[in-house]
Amino acid sequence: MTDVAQALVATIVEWSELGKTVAASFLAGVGVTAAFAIAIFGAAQFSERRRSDEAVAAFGAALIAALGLAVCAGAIVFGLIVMLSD
Amino acid sequence: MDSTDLILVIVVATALAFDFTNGFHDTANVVATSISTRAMAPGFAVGFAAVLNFVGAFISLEVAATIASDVVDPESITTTVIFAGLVGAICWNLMTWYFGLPSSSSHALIGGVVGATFAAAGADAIFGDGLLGKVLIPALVAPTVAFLVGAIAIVICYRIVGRQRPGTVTRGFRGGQIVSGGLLALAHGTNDAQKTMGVIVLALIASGHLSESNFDVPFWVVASAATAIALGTYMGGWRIIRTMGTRIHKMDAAQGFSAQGAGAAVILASSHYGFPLSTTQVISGGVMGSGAGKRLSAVRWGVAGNIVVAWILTLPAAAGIGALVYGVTQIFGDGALGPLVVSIAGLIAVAVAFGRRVRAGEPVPA
Repeated sequence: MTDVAQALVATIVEWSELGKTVAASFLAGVGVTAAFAIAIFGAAQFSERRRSDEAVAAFGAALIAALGLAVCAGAIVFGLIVMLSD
Repeated sequence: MDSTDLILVIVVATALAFDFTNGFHDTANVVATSISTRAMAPGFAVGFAAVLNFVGAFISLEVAATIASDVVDPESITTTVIFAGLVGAICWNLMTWYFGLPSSSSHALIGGVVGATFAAAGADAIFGDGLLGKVLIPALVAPTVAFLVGAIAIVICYRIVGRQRPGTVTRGFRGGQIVSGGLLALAHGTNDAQKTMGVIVLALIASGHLSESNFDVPFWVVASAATAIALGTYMGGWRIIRTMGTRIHKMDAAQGFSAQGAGAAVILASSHYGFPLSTTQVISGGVMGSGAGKRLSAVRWGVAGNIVVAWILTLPAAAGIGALVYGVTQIFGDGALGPLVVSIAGLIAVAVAFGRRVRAGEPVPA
């Protein structure tokens, strides 16, 4: 690509906004999915630990599940607030 | 009612018909993964998506503003041009629906309007920088990002829950898919209903009902576009649901959740910054990514290739049809006769094709 073409593309494409879109997509898409997987991990561990009467470990697992769900809920609410503020 | 008003009425009706086909065509994007992983029953999933599409249409107007002012010169186009563009988009949507291909309604709309504008007012009336910066570059970036997000998300998911009991994990992700599917429907309504709003606003500017320099999207435009896309969604497009839900690759609940999460994140972020991207392309990217992240051979690359071909063809094909339809309307002069004749001919053709396809179609397995 020539210098002129590069300069033209740099002017036409709103790289800053496109970059923010890509960053927000990665953060929200990967972050929320990972947080939800952590919540499921916590829930699965909770039911196993409770079955084997490990009260402290079960409590810890429940805490992990609650934390994962809270992160997901927080991210969704934040996203909706940002959208509604347009 | 004079000729201009009559054409405006035809354009608004055609735009809402396009919005209906958009909901009808793109229902697959929103609900296919939820249905194929059995997170939701088909009837519930479609109704749920219809309600959230309706709500989503009210959230943001950034994309409508882009369509109305950044792609073509509002001063150079007429209501007949917009009508021809809409017919081009509807024809392409129906053709791809007929063959079960999840192509982009958004690019069909933009292509149709650009093609008709080119035929009517020449290349000067097309904002090449807006088309490149706001449509074409995001069209390349968004599905790629959705693919990568879907792939990375599923790898992380499997790392975290890989050794847990499969029953608990599947139930958990199926529950999560109700939320991620809802977000996806909301995102679809937000991005796609706005494109119709943008076109109606463009027609209102062209007919002198709104000022080009300072316009607000009227409430009746938002409400009617929201209703049309929700009705279209509720009617559903089972043929494309099957392609999206099972033919690209067989998904488990975690993959469905990752694909929907990736799609919703990319669409909502893009809507916020005013990029009118294709929800179809983004969700296809997420679905392929969630398959490839598990195992590259899990994706049926032949089906994926057909979808990519439809992506590439959509803009030029819709532009060609839009230009052709504009030419046909001009045979009948500048008045309302051309759009009327094309509308009636189109309705007859659609009724015949729809009837044949519905008779030949078969419902997706529940």
